[in-house]
Amino acid sequence: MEIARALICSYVFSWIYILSSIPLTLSYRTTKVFNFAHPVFITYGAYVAIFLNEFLNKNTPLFIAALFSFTTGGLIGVLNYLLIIRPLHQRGASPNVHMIATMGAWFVYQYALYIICQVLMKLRGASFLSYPSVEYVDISYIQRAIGLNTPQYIVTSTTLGLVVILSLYVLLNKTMLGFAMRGIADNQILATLCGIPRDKLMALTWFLTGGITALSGILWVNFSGSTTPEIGLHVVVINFAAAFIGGLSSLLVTALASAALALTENIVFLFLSYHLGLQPTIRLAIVFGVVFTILVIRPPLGAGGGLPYRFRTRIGRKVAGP
Amino acid sequence: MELITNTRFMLIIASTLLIGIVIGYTIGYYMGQTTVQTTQTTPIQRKYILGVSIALSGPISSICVQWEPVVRMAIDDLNNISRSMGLNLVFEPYILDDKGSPEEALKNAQTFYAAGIRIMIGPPLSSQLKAIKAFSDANKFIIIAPCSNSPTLAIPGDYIFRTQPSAIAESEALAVLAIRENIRSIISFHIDDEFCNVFSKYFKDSFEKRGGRIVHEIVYSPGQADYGTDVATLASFARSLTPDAILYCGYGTDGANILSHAAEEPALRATRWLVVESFYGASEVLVPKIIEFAQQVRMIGIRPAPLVNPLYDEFVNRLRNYGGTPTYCSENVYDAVMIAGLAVLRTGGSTDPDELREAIVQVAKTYYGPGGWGLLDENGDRVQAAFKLWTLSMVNGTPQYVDIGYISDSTIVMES
Repeated sequence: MEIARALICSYVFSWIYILSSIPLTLSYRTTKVFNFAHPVFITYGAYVAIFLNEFLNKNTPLFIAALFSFTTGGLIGVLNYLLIIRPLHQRGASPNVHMIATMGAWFVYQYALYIICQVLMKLRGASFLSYPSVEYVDISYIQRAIGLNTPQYIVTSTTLGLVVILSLYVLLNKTMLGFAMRGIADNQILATLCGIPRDKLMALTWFLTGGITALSGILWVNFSGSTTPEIGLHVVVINFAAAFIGGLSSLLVTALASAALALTENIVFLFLSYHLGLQPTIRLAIVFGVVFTILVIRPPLGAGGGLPYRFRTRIGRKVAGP
Repeated sequence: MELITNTRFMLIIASTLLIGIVIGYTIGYYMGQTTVQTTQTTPIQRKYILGVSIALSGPISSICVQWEPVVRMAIDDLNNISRSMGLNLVFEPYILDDKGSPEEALKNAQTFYAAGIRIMIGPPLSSQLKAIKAFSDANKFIIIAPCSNSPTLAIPGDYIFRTQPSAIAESEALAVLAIRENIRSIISFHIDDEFCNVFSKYFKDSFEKRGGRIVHEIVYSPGQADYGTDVATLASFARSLTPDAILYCGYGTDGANILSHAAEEPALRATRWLVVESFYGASEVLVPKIIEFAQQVRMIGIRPAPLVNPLYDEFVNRLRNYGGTPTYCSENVYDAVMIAGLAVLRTGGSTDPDELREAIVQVAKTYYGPGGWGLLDENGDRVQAAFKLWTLSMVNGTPQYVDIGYISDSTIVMES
């Protein structure tokens, strides 16, 4: 059994899922809005890299792609907040209305991208509806310089993943801004009474959510042999699963769940496919079998009616005694 | 004094009358002229709309988006023919995106039918055509599919025509080629789709009849985000069963993904690859990594095409004026629109399905286009049994699909 490819796929998918799942949890726990337009960030992030690649004659540095994708994703996040989420919130709309509204936004963005692709296709004569993988020139240069022969997507995903996770950790745990964001997440009214500018922090959260998620898109185009405007939809299914396992609250558990789901869908599927001859159709069934099991056996906050892990740990300690 | 006044009054009346006559004459002259010009330059025109269902999004969109300029070019040609014949029939396309999905193709057929359209060009895939067949049969809705060639849809007496020949002959030709290339054992790896399923089945029959053996078959689901694990499964079987070759059937999006993963698998790089035309023309496959892989595994593809056809070269040149580049089946799309339009002209713009069906058969007998002779067999499929062999290669530093030979009447000619 060729386990190496399945492990490589698991590794890269782990980073793609982590970079797209963590912002979903972050946005929900801070804003209490379940954003159905989340796949837009992934798709637009990927397509910014694709457009850059085309306009830079296939000489795109990762640094430039990351900068543009992050900014585009962030701006879409802020735009959604200012035009959809904030007005609805001010009118006291229910979470269901927020969900439907963001779902509507997703459709608008999705078809806007199709229009952009078709216009660019006419102008450039290249097909953007299914685009081959994008190689980043700066990473290629570094790999050649140090004689690293591993596939580029392993270097790209490791570098970008670690940079983002470390930056996010520092932001949330070592800066006043991060404390304020966590304060808003825990108790919005109390935080506002303490002088934390709720509106600005919400906008910042959506900017970070959009920006970080868009970075998963630039990993995708580097890894996959073909990218279509539907890519966000494929990835977001796992994002929702991971975010629910994380209780829509814990970033650490969301990240671990993302990696676990990536491993499950690749390794378990390879095993079943090779030894039992099962078709790949069962892949999502395997993933969601795991999700259901976790949600039922150990329900996290909100999603399954359980408590946040940190509260449960404290309660556990109290029950167990000193 | 009174006389002067009367004379002045008479003069004013006369002048007014004269001016009135001049103005009236001028207006009358030009209005009369306008009426004559109107009746001369704007004869009443009848619009005849042809429904076109192609995948402008989805996994085969990179191939199908290039069909849109082909349709526009064919419609212009039809309108020129109509005008030169002094007919007042003007053709217009009504193009809808079917996303490469059977459900969407059926929806499009229903939409066309509800809009009074009686002929549809498309859909691209056999699986989509299969989904529409019952609707077509029930409503006598005429379909001319330009790219479907699954043998299961070769049915006589229905309202479906195909400008692509059925794949039975193609699967036999590929089996003959495989045996000639000393390939005796094959792993069949294909997408779970009407065309690829049926092609693999017919290929298996032909190949095993000639002494070869399909040692394993792996079918993968369409519409996945990534196919890395499917490639890992294929590599596992390739390592353990050590076949002489892998027969691959897939489309543009999945094909590019699979080939780019396969390019990194030593077990798959050490095995020959035979491929079919399903991803021929897809731009996402044309990347150096896949080209290098294709060269390494001595990839050979097959596709139905007339051997020599100057009309095809002319078609390619003219298509550039419409901003298009030919992809897989482009010439068949052109032929489908032309045969449909010429049949409509032959019937004088009829919408009667039986009349149109008969006209299509008759027109196809004498039609010769960029896809070759249009003659249809008893199943309504194009009669043609010549196949080009192709591979992926760098030409002047650019990745391209390159023809390397042909098969005609079981004669295999390799050009390089």
